[in-house]
Amino acid sequence: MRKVLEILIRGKVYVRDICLLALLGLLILELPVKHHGRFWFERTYGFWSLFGIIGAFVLCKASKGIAHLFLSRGEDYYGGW
Amino acid sequence: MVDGEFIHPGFVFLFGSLLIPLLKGWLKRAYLLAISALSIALVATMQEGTYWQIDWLGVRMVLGRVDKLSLCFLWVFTIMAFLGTLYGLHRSEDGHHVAGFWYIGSSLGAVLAGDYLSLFTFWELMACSSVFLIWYRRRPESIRAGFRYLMVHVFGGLCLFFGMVFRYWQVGDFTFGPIPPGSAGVSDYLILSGFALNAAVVPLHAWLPDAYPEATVEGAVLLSAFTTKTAVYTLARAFSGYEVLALLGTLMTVYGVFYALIENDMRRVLAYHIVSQVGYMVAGVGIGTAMTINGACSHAFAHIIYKGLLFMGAGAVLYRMGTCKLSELGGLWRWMPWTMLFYIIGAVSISGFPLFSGFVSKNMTVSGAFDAGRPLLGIFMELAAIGTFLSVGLKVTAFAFFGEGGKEVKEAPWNMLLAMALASGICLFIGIYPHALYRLLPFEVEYHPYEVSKVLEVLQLLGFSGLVFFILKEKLRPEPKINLDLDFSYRMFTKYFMAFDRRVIALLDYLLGEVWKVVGMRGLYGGAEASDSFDRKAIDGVVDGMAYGVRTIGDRSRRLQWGSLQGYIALSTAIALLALILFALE
Repeated sequence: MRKVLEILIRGKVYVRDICLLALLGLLILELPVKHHGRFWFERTYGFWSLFGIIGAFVLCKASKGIAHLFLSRGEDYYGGW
Repeated sequence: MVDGEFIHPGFVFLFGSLLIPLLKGWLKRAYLLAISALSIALVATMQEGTYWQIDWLGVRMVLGRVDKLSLCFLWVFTIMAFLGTLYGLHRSEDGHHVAGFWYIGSSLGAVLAGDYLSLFTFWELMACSSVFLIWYRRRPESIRAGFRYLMVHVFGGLCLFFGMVFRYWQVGDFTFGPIPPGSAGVSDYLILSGFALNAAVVPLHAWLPDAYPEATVEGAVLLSAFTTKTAVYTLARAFSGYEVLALLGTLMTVYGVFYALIENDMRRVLAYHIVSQVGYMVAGVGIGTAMTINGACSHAFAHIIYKGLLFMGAGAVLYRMGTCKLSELGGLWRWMPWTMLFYIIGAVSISGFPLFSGFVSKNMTVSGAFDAGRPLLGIFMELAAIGTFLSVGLKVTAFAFFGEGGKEVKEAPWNMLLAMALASGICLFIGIYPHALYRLLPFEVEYHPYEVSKVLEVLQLLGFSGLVFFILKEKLRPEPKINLDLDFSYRMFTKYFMAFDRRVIALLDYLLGEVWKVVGMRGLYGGAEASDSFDRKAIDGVVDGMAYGVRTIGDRSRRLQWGSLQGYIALSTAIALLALILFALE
């Protein structure tokens, strides 16, 4: 188990490249797929890829931004309460 | 405990717990596992029907309502009870096991209850027994968090209680069944709020991420499974089709992942994720079509197993490392590779990757929302799915198990690993063979998860959001901070109330004491002296005077009795003569 992980982590670059290729593969695979859905976005090519990128970006930025603005406090903020 | 073919699995736990303190060592462990396994067997042999009807004080109580909806939850509850018991087997305190059994038993009782009176009884029993799973951690923070947990649940219980009493006045019985949205009154909404509080529906959710991370390693695994999902069951039973639940449920899905992205404590990340995942179920119940209610139930099933698994993984880290703050962890893959593997299986399941359980359950609710003509709700649920993968899937894995830092520790104990392995197996089994789960759902299922377009949709969504994570990874690095949530309101209220008490009330108390000392005590002393002197002079004077008078008269009359009979006769004759003369003169 640990050895398998060591090999994977040492070959970090390959793992990354394989993942990127897989993403590309997903986009190619979608080309011949016929979508059927009630709404336009369900029938648009590559919509969910774009939604994934924008959604993740917005969530990361918004959550961290709001946390830094006013949600974040020191660990003993409540002082035992 | 037996009614025809029916044996109540909840009572098996409740009464079964009584023997725990009498057993020792391996016998005790075998007994704990045997009771949990017995409960699964009881559910497996259970037939639909109504059992254990008791007429009490003119009210009909139903303790055993078995139908498709309750059976679905009974299955997963008993499976999780077994996994949770196996995971906590090493725990030496009997009280912890007893509290766990009471908690499980009362949850099963609540699911089987067919009337509000027995539901309420088990509901309260759940709160009172589960709080011990928090207190047994014995840290001052846990004791306080436990009290807050209890207070919030007492409030929720009161909502339920008043709701059911008002409802009884209106309809005249305690039957617990569906309430159509059109006919719901104030009493029904009170009941709804009681259920919603236990389901951690925003804004009644803050107790959950406050309390669960403070629970014991083993207790948190049980807590993550029962309270919220019992509430989902009751909502599905009584309040399907309520618009407010559809909206709040969808809000929960995003709200939970939002906090999960910024939290530092591994178990708090998971606790916020319960809010998010229960959101899918609440929204499914709220939209109220057969598909979304099926989605809610299947998601509850899948969620209990993988969330239990995730809490087991985080608990194992806490057990070995003494902390599960992400800012203090890192590089655990070297020391706890199996824990990591099982955690990742849970994380992949919750993220909804194909071949894992989350995929076949979560997408049912999302597709159901689209099919019901609610695209906006569906889109927000997809956004929450991204957040789930980013936080539980990537953030925790990257900062706890990979990366640098941490220290050398042993792998988790065998029983923890075995429980995690079994839970992982169930996640995979449901993912690969979803019809095993779909067979248990309350409605007939017309849903095929493994369509090419659906698989591609999910893989693209998660794949590309993962890409963004690796670009923004450093921005998401957890910080040793806490984040304010709505528990702020009552925690600050308590803090300021105590400060007010300590400063203002204590000062007033002191001042009153001083004033009393100066004015009151002097008055009292003066009064006491006056009454003393009055007592001595006036009262004693009168009393003594009377006493002296009586004594003088007695003394005088004593002198008249000198003891000579002739003298008495002479004196009497003299007096008689004197009286005669006086009479004659008149």
